[in-house]
Amino acid sequence: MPDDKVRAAIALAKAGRRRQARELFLQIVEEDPRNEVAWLWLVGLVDDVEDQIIALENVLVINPDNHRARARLERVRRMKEAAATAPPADREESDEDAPPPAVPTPPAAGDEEETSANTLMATGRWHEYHGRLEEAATFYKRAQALGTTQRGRQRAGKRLKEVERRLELRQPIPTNTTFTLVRLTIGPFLLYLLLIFIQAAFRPWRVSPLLCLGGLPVLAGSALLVGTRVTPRHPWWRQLFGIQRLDTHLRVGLALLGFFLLLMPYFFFLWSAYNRLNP
Amino acid sequence: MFLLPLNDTEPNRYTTFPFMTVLLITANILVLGAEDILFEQDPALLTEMIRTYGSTPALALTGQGGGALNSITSTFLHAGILHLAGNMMMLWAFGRRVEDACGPWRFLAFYLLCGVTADIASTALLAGSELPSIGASGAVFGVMGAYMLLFPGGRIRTFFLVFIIPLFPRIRAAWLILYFFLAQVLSVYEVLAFDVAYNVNYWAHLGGFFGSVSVFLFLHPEALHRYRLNLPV
Repeated sequence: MPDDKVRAAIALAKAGRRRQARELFLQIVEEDPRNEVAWLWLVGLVDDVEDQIIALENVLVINPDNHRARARLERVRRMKEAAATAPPADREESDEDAPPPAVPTPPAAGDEEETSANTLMATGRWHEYHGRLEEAATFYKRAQALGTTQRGRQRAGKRLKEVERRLELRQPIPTNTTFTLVRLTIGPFLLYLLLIFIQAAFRPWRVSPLLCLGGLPVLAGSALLVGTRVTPRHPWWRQLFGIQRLDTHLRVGLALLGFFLLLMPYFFFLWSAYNRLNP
Repeated sequence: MFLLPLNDTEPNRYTTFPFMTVLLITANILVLGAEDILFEQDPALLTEMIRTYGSTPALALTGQGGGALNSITSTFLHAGILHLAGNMMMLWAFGRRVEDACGPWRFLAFYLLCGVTADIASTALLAGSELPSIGASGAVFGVMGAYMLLFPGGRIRTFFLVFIIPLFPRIRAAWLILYFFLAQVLSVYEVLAFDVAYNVNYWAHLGGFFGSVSVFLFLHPEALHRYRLNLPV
């Protein structure tokens, strides 16, 4: 349960086990990128100023009315600007939702880099969750570059690949309208052919000429429906009506005509089949 | 071991609500309700209904009965609640995203086409049979085949009963459909090789499955282009 995890992470942070708390909070924001409390606690648990800024920015996107986080962000930014000379900013008053005072613990070897990579991953996930794929890709790239473990780099690389794939999907894909028109027209016609094949007791030479003729309206109706719905700019319309593009009235009218032409032969022969069943 | 696909865990891409899948499920449930009412009035009436609207190969090949009408009506008849539930769970699990990729009306045409190919296969292979065959399974196998073609990497939440332990794992669609396909092939082999008595129309299932290749005639243009570019449909 996310709430249990948050409680456990807060307990760890209060007990001074910053590293475990940080890992658990990162896990929480990866699972639920909109968890404001977790991002807030992360601000106090990450050591890198960049990571603090990212966490605070995330808090503000989730809750733009969090004035305390806004003030803190401004302070951290000022602190960053004066990074070399200025003393660290004072921490805010502690409460349930705000991070605890930092407990100085010596980071393990490669710990800071890995934490940064994890924060970047979580932020990437958060951007991805909100559909900002370009930003997500940037964060994953940074996480991949900063990751100290092979597993971490692989994880970032995998997410990056997926985001790049989704970005690629956003590009409009050109479609061939004539091919679409022909392809979609064939489907209902094929269904009609199979049905009259069954109606003729699986002997094509016994198909009645009337049923064969019924195939023409099916083809015409199907083409009209596809033409009006899927390819309203097809050159076909210019050849038929001398217009570049179908307007709404013509489109609806032709679609209705197409629907009628398409269904009429089906109804006709299903009715004849019903009559054959109940003479 | 028993397994039943429950739900597709992946989201839709083009539409939000699988209107035609729900409509087909509702229609099948209503028809079973009508069957139950008939059965309560007089069991002979239900038998007569199944004989009239089911698909009987011997009648279809001699030009008797409803012909093409029976191919369609038989896909809406079921032999009982379990028969219906199994088919409809599969239709729900696999139909939603196939409908999304086709659009509701083209999905309906595709569903009926699979039902018809299933009926053609079963009539051709069981030519002398005077037993009416009923059920949506042929069409549902067609939908499953289409799912396999379009979304082999999709994950299906599946009810999995191992002895008495129920499990609900997410299984990759390709494995699940392959399992169902092989189960049909093995059953057909068993029937042909050992002359085993059976009451399931495996031929119709395989016919519907092979009919699924026609899904490319019904796909939304963008879905087909994604497929051709090897992108997720």
